[in-house]
Amino acid sequence: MHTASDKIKHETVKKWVSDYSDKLYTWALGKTSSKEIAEDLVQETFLSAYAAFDKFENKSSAKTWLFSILNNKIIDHYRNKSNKHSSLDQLSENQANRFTNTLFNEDGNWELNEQGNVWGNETHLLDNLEFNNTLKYCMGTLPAKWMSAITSKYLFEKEAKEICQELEITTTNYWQVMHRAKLLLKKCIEKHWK
Amino acid sequence: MDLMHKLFLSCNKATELVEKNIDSNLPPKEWIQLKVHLLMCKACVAYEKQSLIIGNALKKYFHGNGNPKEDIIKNEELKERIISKL
Repeated sequence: MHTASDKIKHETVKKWVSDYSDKLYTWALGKTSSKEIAEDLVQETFLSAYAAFDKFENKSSAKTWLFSILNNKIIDHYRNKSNKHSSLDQLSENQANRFTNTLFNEDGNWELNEQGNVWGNETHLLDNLEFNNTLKYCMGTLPAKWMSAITSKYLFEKEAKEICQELEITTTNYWQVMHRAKLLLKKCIEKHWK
Repeated sequence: MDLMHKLFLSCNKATELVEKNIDSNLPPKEWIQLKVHLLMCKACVAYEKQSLIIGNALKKYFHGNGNPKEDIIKNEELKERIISKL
């Protein structure tokens, strides 16, 4: 593997900072709504890029590469955020599947004790601090693959097709993942909030 | 009610279609099956509402009141700081 000289590395990354830092920062700010966090993430992105420079090899454009590093750091940020209280609570996919299966009886219909759950008025909930904190906690219980699908859809606003390519799953499997993720979140919220 | 469920979708399948319906067009057969199921099943109607609430809460969680517009924000101080750390 060809090792770029330190001078070339330094000059190249310095140019990347000059060319792309503002774009990366704007993106990160939009995704985290925090100046401090966005700045940290962008800084970490360039430092990671610098450290991994030899692996870059111009396979994609520098901009694409930097954005993909940044997006992974954003995902990690949200994962760490929701796991602050509960790093032990993340379920494996098997556990999560077993849990969501318990919601339905053998005919595939809602178990009787699942049928009565009615939530309140939506606008009140979206502004309710406790509801949102509960949601945050519950996101931490999602298995990694389900969390990926959720962040790809709601954070990066990707289309189903793109998410399928990313996760290397069929569209049918994608709907199943989203379905089960929502079921898990719903049950978790009902358990911890009301 | 049980007989109806046997003739048509299970709630498990119906709620899966609710998700699919949220951001893609269901093929006609599935669309009709879902609508019929929702006419008969209060629990799944509640689920659909809850799923939309969760979806909206997730959007808000990730974007806050974020500015969706594309204007690039300049941050020269950040650039200098980063370069000094390389």
